[in-house]
Amino acid sequence: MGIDIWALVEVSGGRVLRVSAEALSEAVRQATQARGLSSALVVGCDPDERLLKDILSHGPDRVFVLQNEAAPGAELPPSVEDLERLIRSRQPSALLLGNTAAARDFAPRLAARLRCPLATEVSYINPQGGPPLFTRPAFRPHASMILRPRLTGFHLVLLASGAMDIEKPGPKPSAAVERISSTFPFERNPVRVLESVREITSALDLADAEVIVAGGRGMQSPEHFLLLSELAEVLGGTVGASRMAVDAKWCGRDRMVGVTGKIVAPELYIACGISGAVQHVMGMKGARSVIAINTDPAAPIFKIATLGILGDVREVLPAMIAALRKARARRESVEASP
Amino acid sequence: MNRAGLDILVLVCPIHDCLNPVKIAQSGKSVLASSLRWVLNPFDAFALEAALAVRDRAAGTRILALSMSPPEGERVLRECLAAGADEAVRLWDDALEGSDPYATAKGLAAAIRLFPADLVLAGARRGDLEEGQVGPMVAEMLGIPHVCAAREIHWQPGEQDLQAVKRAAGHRIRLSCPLPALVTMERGLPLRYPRLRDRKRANRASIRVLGLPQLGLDPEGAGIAGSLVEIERITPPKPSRRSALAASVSTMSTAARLQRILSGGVQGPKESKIHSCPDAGSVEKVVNHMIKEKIVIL
Repeated sequence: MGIDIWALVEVSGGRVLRVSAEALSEAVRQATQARGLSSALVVGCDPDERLLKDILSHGPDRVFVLQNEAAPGAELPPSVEDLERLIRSRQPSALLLGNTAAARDFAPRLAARLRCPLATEVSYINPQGGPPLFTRPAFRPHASMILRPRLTGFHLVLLASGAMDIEKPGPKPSAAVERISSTFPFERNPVRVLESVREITSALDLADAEVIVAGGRGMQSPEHFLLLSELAEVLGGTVGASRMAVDAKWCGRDRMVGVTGKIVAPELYIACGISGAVQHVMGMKGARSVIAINTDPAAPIFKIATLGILGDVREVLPAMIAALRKARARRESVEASP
Repeated sequence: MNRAGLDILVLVCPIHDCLNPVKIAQSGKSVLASSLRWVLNPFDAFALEAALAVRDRAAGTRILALSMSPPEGERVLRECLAAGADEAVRLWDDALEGSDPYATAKGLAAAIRLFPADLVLAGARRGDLEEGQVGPMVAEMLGIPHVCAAREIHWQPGEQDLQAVKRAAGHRIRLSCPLPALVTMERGLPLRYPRLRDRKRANRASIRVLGLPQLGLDPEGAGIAGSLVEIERITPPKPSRRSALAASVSTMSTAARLQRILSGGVQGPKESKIHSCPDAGSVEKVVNHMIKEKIVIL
């Protein structure tokens, strides 16, 4: 039997999640390389014409749609029972998953039930003609690790987010769509949602935020300080501040980053008009990437920045917000009309 | 089930403190044990805190800390005792060396069957390997429901269900889950610091060690032999993108540019990653660069 690589496609707000698009693109690439089949397993909703076209444009040979009759329209994560049944009956070679909270939740349980190898946070899959090798982090930033499955046959791969490129080679003319009904009614799930309340992003706790936009003395006024919330909103992050900004009462003390404030380690830290005093840097040097915006080329913050922008935050920030919005709109229009 | 309080089992693991570098063994398949600096997995500290918070409100609660760990990791169990765990048990056998998350979960599940609990708590993931598989795998092996990455848990004496609060996709979600259950904890709760007196008491406490025979496990199916994945290689990381960024050279003087060319363009001056942005157009260029380099993810 030839190779058949599946990717789980999660849908939210009527759109394919970015990490799912990454998983699907990687599945198509791996399958093409091995001269096998690739399939998209759509969960969470019954896709309309537009969404289906979008999924097909990534180039899978087949699209399976897992339908949940009990809750049509509800964007629910798939049940382990449904996935187990599908995998046992259809026998794919692998299932690639984007890095979502739902996938991190059910993938280990599914792996234990199927007794199949699972690799998580995978940033590279080396097919090497035989059993694949998975590159994933270990002891970051001092090392990384390559894992090998000990069993041949089906395996699960939870990809690191942002690791795989999204490609749209266009739909395959032979691509088929098949709808499969869920046999596990959602009410049978012992874990029930009692309440789900939308949180305002700026209320996100600093310690949990993946993106922090922080401002310092260079912001000059409380009005300009508001620009930070705007940028934070575009990036889905939250606002932080240096001691200068807190002392000037541009924001509350709970926003302060530094040795006397909060120690943070987000994925991205944008330091706006912050010179980079050691007390502040101690609180944010754990950030994976740092973007610094400052008028002073000698500001110490540039020493630790991944990328520095020399300019006045009051001019750079509005331009940056506009450029990011433009980039997002461009991408959405590309995704909407392949 | 003891309804005046819960029997809680907290799964903890010693991990390497990644502020310290590791040395890769010559085989390339492991790191040198001498280079490891063991600390309690930070996420497990929140699992223990969640257990302590339940006990604060339901005095009949008993907390047992359980760890699969070589003798070097025993210190983390003493930390749990100092913070308030009633008892600690360590699970070890040399045959367990090299266990992947599946083999680890198998060992822990076997131990949990010896210490039946209403609630099993664990960290949402381990910090050094960025792995969060063991918790849900244990739940599957025990056949109990699980909740991943909770921030808080609530239980009132007499209740059959546990409530958990988690955050996902910009929502605060309140869940209910029938007991017995397994919950993995994210960061969030404020941690308490043990008193010196409790630390001293914890250092004197005896910690039971269970081996494979007590668990009824076969050494042939433990460790690497019982694992579903194994380490092919541990490698130094790829150079981070911090060192390699395109330069906007327009602000460089002729001399600086000449120096850059003569230096082979490898070691640019520190300013090389600083983009001068006097207008909106140049900001847009930098933003597009950030998106391309995945510094900013939209």
